Amino acid sequence: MMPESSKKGILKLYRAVDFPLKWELEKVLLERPLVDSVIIYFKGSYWLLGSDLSSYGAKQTGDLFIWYSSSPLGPWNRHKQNPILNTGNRPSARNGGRPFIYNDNLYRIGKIRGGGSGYTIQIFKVQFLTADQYKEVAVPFVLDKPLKNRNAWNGARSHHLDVQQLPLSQHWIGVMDGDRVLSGDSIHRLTVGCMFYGAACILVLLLGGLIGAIKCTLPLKWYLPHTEKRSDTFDIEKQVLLCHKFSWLICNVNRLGSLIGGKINYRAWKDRVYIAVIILILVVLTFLGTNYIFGGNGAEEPYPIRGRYSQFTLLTMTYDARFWNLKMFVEHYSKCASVREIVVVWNKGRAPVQGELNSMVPVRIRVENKNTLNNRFKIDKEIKTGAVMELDDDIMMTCDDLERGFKVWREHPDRIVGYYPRLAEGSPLEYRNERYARQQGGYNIILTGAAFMDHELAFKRYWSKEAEIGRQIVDSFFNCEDVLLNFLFANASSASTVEYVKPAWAIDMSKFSGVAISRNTQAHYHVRSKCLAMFSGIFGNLTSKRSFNSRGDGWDV
Amino acid sequence: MFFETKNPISSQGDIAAAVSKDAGTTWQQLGVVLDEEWHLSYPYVFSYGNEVNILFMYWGKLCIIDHIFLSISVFLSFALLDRLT
Repeated sequence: MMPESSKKGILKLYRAVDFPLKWELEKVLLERPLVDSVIIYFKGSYWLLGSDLSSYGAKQTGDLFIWYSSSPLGPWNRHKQNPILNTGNRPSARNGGRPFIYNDNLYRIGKIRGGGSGYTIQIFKVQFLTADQYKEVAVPFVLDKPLKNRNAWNGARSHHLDVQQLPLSQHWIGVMDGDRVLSGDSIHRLTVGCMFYGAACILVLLLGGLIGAIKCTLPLKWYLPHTEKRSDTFDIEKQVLLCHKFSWLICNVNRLGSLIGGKINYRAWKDRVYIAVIILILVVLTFLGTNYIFGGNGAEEPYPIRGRYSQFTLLTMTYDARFWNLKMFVEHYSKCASVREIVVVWNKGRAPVQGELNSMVPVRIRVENKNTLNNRFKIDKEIKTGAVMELDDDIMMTCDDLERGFKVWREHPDRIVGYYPRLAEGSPLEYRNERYARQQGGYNIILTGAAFMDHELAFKRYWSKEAEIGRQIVDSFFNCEDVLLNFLFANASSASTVEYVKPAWAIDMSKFSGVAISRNTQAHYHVRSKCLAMFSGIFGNLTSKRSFNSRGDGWDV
Repeated sequence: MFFETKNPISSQGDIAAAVSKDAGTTWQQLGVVLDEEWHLSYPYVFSYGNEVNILFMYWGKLCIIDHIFLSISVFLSFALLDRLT
């Protein structure tokens, strides 16, 4: 039976003639504008569930309807309770995917409106499904809530889930959709951006009027009636009336123009300040408008390699005097898409307890007995990822910089990939800063204050027997642990072992906090030159100079 | 996997397919498999007898407005996996 209903929409069934690429119309199942329709075989019958949004107010709620049949090709019988109401007589949620049967129970996947204009998935357990009865109850759907906001693929909303048991297997496989932003985000950004541009345009006109560059006087005589036309007196009368109205309008516009016109004399000092302020506002408005229209949705997305994504562990070393830094560090970096876990190596003082740090990913605090720089490379079996990013808690970078560095590391997992290049040159080796390295066109050390590495490879090298004397030197200077690691990498390979990634911007917070490890730059460089001399005596030379802008991705300029 | 893909100019939905041969780790796009003059979304694929059927709704012109209004971005649906191998 086909229920008679609105002719606006039809529910169609297609058959695969060449799966999965070619489909042909099999038949029209229902002449109703059904959305989110599913067919499921349950207890000897086929059930068709869908929402009809054609009735008034149903767009918001989505009335659920049920039909049943002995074949998916129909004819379909109407369920007695249509439209299906929930407990409390509220309409049932629209379908959000394929219903599934688990332990002989039927579950329906629905989508409900979450906050704002986004949907979330809700699972319902169907308690009764017969020709004249339907009852469902919401059951918990445990899925980790995306906390990384728009950096997460499903940060804002999800509205479809399909789970299926693999044939002849205990395993299930599922697929879910997601979006980082709410619906209409691109239109919203365009609208707001145009509003900023519009405001800027008005301000330009106003400024032009104020300094008298734009004179808004429209000659009145243009609109006076042409008296030579005498054919139709009635027409002329009308024209005169119209022109009178026009001239009144023009007079008012002119009066407004003369009111503001030339109010600001740009030769006067005080008025120049006004002009400067207005220009500043103009610049800000233009900047905001451009940012809204061309700045993208603000998400800092990870970079796939051959279509795949990965994650890394962020490792930092700190102590109690730098707790304020650490809080900011955790809050900021835990939102980056590829950060899986943060490990805090706690070297000294009272360690923070659970809940003191606000993080979107698990934070593990590893309290150390001995305050030594060697701890940052300590072998840690609990690290779940292959990649570790060593990052000082006083360096603030964008998530995008981290993601770019991670991509370069994934392309060169046997190297140290970082953001601070140094050059050791001369005989004896002298430790030189980034500016010098740039003058010489290359680098051969990457500081591990911000660097990616394979932790199994790097930490094993660092804690090898051969490196023991190096670790003692590190302890004696309380410095040079990163120089040692660079030597160990260079020692193990004849090819280049360092990769530089230029950060868009990086703020060194130690400049503000006053608890930096190395405040005195000159003394610091002197110590490091001394380390270089000692290490090169033990481990041989560093690799040859790696040129800036040689990788080809343009990120190492 | 069958999903709705939107024409960026007309905002009209078409049905596209992608295939994975490593349990979902990587996907190869197969392109649009069903394109009608009206908006298509919510592909629902099931097998019956010896055929594979795809069921979905369309709703004339109203649906496009509804689509933008209700913020539906992507629909995903599985083809039965044994058919894919």
